[in-house]
Amino acid sequence: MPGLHFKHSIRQRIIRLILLTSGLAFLCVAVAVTIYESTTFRPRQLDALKNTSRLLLEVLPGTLDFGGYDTANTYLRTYAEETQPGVVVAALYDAEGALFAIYSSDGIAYPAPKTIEPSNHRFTAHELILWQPVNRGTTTIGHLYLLKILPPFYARLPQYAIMAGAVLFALIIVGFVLIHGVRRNLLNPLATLLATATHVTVHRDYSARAELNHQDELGHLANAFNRMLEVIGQRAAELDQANTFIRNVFAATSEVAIIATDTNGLVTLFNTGAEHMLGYTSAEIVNRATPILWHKAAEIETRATTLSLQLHRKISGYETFVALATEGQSDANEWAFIRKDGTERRVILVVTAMHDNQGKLTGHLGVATDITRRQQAEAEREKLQGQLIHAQKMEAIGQLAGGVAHDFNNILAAMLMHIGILRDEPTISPEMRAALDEQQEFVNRAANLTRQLLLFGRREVMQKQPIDLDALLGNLLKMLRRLIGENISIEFKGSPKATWINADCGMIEQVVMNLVVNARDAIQTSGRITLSTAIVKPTATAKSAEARPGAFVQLTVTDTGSGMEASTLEHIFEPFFTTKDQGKGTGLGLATVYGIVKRHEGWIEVDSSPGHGTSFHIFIPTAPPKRDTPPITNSKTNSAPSGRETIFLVEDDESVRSAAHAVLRQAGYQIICAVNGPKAIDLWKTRTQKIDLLLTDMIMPEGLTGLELVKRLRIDEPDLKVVIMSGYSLELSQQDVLKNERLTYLSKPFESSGLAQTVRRVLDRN
Amino acid sequence: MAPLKHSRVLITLCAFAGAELFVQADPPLAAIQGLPQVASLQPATAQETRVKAAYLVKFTQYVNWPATAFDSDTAPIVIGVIGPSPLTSDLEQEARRITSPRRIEIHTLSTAEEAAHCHAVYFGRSDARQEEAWLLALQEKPILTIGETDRTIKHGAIICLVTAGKNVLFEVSRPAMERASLKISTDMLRYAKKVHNSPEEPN
Repeated sequence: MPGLHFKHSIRQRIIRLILLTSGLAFLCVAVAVTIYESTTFRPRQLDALKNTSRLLLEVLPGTLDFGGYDTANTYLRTYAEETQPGVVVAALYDAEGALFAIYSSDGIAYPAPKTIEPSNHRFTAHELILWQPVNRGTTTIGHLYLLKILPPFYARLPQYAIMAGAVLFALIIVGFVLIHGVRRNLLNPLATLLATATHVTVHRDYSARAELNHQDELGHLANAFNRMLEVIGQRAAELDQANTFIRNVFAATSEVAIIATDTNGLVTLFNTGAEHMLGYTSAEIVNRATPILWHKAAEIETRATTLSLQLHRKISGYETFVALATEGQSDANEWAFIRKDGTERRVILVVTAMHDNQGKLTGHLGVATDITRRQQAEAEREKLQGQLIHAQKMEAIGQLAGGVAHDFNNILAAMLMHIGILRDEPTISPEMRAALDEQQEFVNRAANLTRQLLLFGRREVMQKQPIDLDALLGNLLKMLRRLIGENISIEFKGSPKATWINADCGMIEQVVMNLVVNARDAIQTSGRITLSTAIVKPTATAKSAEARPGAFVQLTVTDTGSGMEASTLEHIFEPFFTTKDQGKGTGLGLATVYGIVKRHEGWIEVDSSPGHGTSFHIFIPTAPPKRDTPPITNSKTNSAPSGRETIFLVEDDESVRSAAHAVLRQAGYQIICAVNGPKAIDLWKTRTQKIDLLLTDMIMPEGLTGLELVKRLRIDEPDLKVVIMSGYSLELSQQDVLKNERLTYLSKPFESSGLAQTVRRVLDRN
Repeated sequence: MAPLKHSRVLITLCAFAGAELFVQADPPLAAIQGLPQVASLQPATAQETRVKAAYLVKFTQYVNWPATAFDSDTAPIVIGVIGPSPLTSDLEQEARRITSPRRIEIHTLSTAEEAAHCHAVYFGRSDARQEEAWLLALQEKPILTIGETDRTIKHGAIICLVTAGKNVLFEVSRPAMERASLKISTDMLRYAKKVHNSPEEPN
């Protein structure tokens, strides 16, 4: 294995083991040889001496029998010096025990014994003495004496040197074979396994497999290892998936603070949500601080006191947060978090105890949800609730005022008509006429008062007329400048083309004012508001769903204010939705704008993003320029027009009915009166003369409105001319009906002359 | 050192080839003056007789007879001596020392027919007249014939005892030995004064 070095490698250990074993084997052999040598030395020496002397014993009888003294000497010498070195004395005795022949390496040191000791041998420390009979056949005819000096132990060793060398050589060969075998069968497969394991660890590549084609235990180990890798690979994939999921959860919960602590309270995890919520970074907190850092000491103390009573033991410090969770109880509490910058957030903190697989407590997990905004929203909602109640109150007052104004209008209309009749009387004195004029002036002031009441109750009559928007804005600019103050500049960019629209002047003014006031409030200190107009033709890719083809005047109000979140934009036109402080806005401003624009058959688009200001785009259909036809307004003409036609007057209010009857009778008309719709229909059916014009109130009791009455009557006479009167404004649909049904509208209160002129004009229309 | 070397070769050859190899003995080996029994203080004649008796008995221990020469494995070796002889008592004494299964019996012979039943026959110096005739009768019989005259070999005896001063030596006739179908061990032949390869050779 290149690149891998071990302090204690198996290879070295095995080599060491083999060497040790070889050494031990060698030692054993040496000991065995030594023991063998020592224990068998004497018998072997004796055997050797007996064996080698056997031949000698065969030739010696002849020398004894036939007097071969010299021959015997020669035999003995040859035997002692050449056949058996170490024999220092060899002596031959005849049958009588007399010395016959002798060999001695040193006659003085080794003399021949004087007497014979038949058939005996003995060892001394360094000598072997052997007596043997010399036999001819079975007859003993003499004795042979041999004295051999035994070689000392060290002198015997060299004969084992070759054997030792051979054993050593064999051991080395065996050692090499063993090492080779171990390397091939054990170390190389192990190295392969190690390489695979290292590769897996370093590259996290769980697809790697140890390629071992062994059928032995190592092969099984490799297979087991590969199976383990497979399992680990699957587990790693699952773990990755789980980690990814947890990361996603953490990322998705950036609005929630997740804080983990160990058993001592030291923070071990501080997620992004916690960083956002507390203003500390994870590095500042993890392993450095306990949650006490961002809590109010007084709050901890209060909670600790409560907990101590609840759990019947003293709770303080960090334990205050986790005591309940540690005991397995749910703990969700509202706390104050003190951010790094000192500001305070209110949170709901849920604390859970964390345990390991053995059930041992490892720490706690706190999940905190910021409820500051929710609490603010609740406060806001409470405020709005108040505003709603206020608005409903206002609405009720408005309805009351509107109702009163309606009745007032009827009364005032009757009064005006009666004054008109009186003034037209030629017999009255100039003083009386002056008094009547003054009377009329008072009634007009009273009429103005009712109009103001209607305006307050948002029941003002919508009086559409062609207006030039640029001209209107030009006139409004001066007043707007006063409204927004000196720190904010206002700019107006008119369109190069004329911007005619069919609109209610007052309502459009209200729209512009509401938008400009909103723009002013969006600008904190100083900035710019730009008003601009243009003629546009929206394409299919227009922003708003309400956009439609055609020519429109676009009014844009742009500010350099704070801008709005997309979430805010969704709600801005809802009634009572406001981002302003309590008391500063009703939440009805933009709702009113929306309603007005809708009533003008237009729509609104908004561009806004936080920090980049807001642009409101209002689209209203273009209209032809203003004609010189007289508007439908009250006119003051002294010469009241007259006629002979028959007029069908339907009015539930008696004062108006009688006054109108008087005015029209005076003007010369034939009058048929009905007090409500059903009565009118009855009269219509029994009519005996042609009716030229129907003058009817819009809203009447008895379940039949003026419009429904008109529809019924026109079934019989489609060309029936109609003037319709009302003290309320008309809804958009009703305006359309007016136009479609060829109706003429007369708003209350009206003067006698106004009534006469309108009737005359309608009658004169073809 | 030549004789010594020779001797070793001899020992080796004997060990491997057995007793059938005949080699002429070296002359120095014949010198037996130093032998204690010969150099004793006994009277010369008695000493000589004793040596001769010992020789006769020892010879029987180195000779192989054909199996037909004995009736059984334990049948005794019979040494025949002609007439009353001073050797007889010495022979009997020497024969008692032999402890082998085959005993040695000493028979005194008066006729050649008697000699035919012996395994060895000794002709003393006094028997010189009968020697030739007896030997003629006994030739080709498996009988070790021993004489001591200078004509003994010529007469067909196998062994001739020779007296040299106080020492007694012996000579062997190979043709006579072969005629008698006897085999004499090399251990004995080695010490012969002379081995005659033909009966006509001079002594």
